[in-house]
Amino acid sequence: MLNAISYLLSATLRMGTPIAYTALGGMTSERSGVNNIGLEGIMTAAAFGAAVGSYLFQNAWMGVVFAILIGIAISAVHSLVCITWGGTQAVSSMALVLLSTGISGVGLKALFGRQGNSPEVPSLPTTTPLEGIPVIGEFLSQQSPFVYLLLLCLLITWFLFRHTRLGLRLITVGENPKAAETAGLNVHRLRYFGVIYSGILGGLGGAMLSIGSMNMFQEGMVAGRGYLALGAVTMGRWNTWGVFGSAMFFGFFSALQLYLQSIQVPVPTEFIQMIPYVATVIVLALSAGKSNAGIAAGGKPYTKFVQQR
Amino acid sequence: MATKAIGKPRFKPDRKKLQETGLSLLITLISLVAALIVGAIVIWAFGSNPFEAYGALWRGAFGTGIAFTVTLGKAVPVMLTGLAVAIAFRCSVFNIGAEGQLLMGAMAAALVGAYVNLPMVLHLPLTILASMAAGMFWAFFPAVLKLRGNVSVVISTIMFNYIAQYLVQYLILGPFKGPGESPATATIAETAQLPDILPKPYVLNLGFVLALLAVVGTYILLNRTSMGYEMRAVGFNASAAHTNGIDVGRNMFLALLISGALAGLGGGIEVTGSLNKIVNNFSANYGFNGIPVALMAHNNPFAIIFSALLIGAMRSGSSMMQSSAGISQNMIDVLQGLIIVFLCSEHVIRYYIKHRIGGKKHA
Repeated sequence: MLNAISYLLSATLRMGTPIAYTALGGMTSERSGVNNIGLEGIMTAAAFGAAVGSYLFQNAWMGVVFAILIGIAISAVHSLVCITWGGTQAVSSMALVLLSTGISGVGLKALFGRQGNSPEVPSLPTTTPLEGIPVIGEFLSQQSPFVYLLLLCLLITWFLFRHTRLGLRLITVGENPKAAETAGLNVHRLRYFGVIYSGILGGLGGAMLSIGSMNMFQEGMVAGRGYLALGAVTMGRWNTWGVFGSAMFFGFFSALQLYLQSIQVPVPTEFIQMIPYVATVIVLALSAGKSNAGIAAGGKPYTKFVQQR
Repeated sequence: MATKAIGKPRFKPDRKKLQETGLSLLITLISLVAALIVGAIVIWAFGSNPFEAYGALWRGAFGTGIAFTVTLGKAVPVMLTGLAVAIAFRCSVFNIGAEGQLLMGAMAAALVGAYVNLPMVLHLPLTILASMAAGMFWAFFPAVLKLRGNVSVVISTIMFNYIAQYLVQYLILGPFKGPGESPATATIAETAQLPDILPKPYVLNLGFVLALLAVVGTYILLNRTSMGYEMRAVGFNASAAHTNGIDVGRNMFLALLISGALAGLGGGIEVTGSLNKIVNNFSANYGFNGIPVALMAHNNPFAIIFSALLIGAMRSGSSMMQSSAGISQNMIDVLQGLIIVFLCSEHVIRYYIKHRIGGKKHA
């Protein structure tokens, strides 16, 4: 029993952390008024970039740097198209998904001469120095550094929205860009910040998949986590703790799926693999109505190129 | 009110409309060329020769008569998912679930095709209808969630893609696994297979004609019925439509159902026309390819024929590109992504064409 709990807890952290990174980023971007349903794409490209960086320098931390840079690059494209040029955000983000999966496939073949997965690359070691802590030391030491880095990002994001002027301004441009501009705020610059922030966190989320919980990049390894993160943003009602909790909730269902597979319950694997997705639909349906109002100016472009309605 | 659009004399030359069509076409061409240029840079950056790669892509798609018929065949499923995405778009619904709806349509066709015994005149239509019904059924849940709970269609349809993927995988490997080792369903009865319309060695079946009929049907629905008029009104300006007494939610609901049926039909044609059974992971993004198809055509049903041919050509030429130029097949995903990015920047292209070029004319 204790074994099961420890397994589930550990697996929840492992499965939930990438979703939580991406979801916190997605929340920031959405609060500033730019939706990005292509978080999946950022994660895919970042997971690939992390493997490449780690392979080239034979150092996993360089992989993390690569992943962040790629996350920034992709979200910069999204910002340019959606913020400056007023493109439809949902459409642009789907382009990012195609671009990212495409680039990682092309890159795999061109850089490693392979299809499907990269060779093994150095991965981030678990946090063994924490072993000395009594009772929970063993548990803590088995976690990836990404888990602790997530706590830091969580606090930063919370602080950003709760206690800084920048956070307040981000919310303002998301709710009413016209009023924000009248008050002298630079709507575009603030939105760029929101989207790039989301790229950085999405990059970390992707990096954890390839060089945190594994030691290679596999095609399709993101497996919808970016979309789960998107669901977590809605479910958490654009609130830092809510979004974090929802992401971990999805992480729990993924962990449950792993656990049920490992104890070989007499249910076809496919149905167990469906659990996180079905759970998302059910939760969104249950929390429907009240929470889905969203960000007032979310998804609407604010530029001279598009007529304002 | 709504019926006003019907029966009015059309075909009076409308200069403004013509100009608008020309502008849309120009934007699509600009996006396509820009995507090919950036794509060439990507190919070059990854160490291959872009001319060689594009040459192989072209030869693979149009090099021989047979290759051309393969391209036509590959255009069929993306034509239908393109129509599916477009009709939903026209009503302001972004259906990313075409992939799942296509899978469910294919599954239904495979089951009805293999396990029902009927003469061909009944069996084939029944199989096709089953695929449409299954696609519609899969769009039904997101549609209800949108109507009753205002759940984002984007998120719910994505989730239903994954659910469909696992469900179909289960059915293929589990209860409906066909004879033999391969992970596939049983081959459907001959009475459920679409006949070829060209003699061998050319490969083209009746599915191509069905797809063209679907294009005409979608056009009629959108432009010649009051239902289509209401949908377009919602898509054009939902609050104005609402003020004029159009039920916005109901129209979005219907648009998503029709969209699902079209995507399901795509799966049904793929099974009855070329595969004759479902192999695991057969779809390979047919549903997602519908998005660039619809966008390039600016959601115009007839233009979708051409954009689907373009994507179909990419799909059929990609293996030649991989084998002879050494660049991964995934390059066509990159190209499609780039095309969407540029099309998405439509406003800015439009703005500069109107203000720079149009402005000079005035001066």
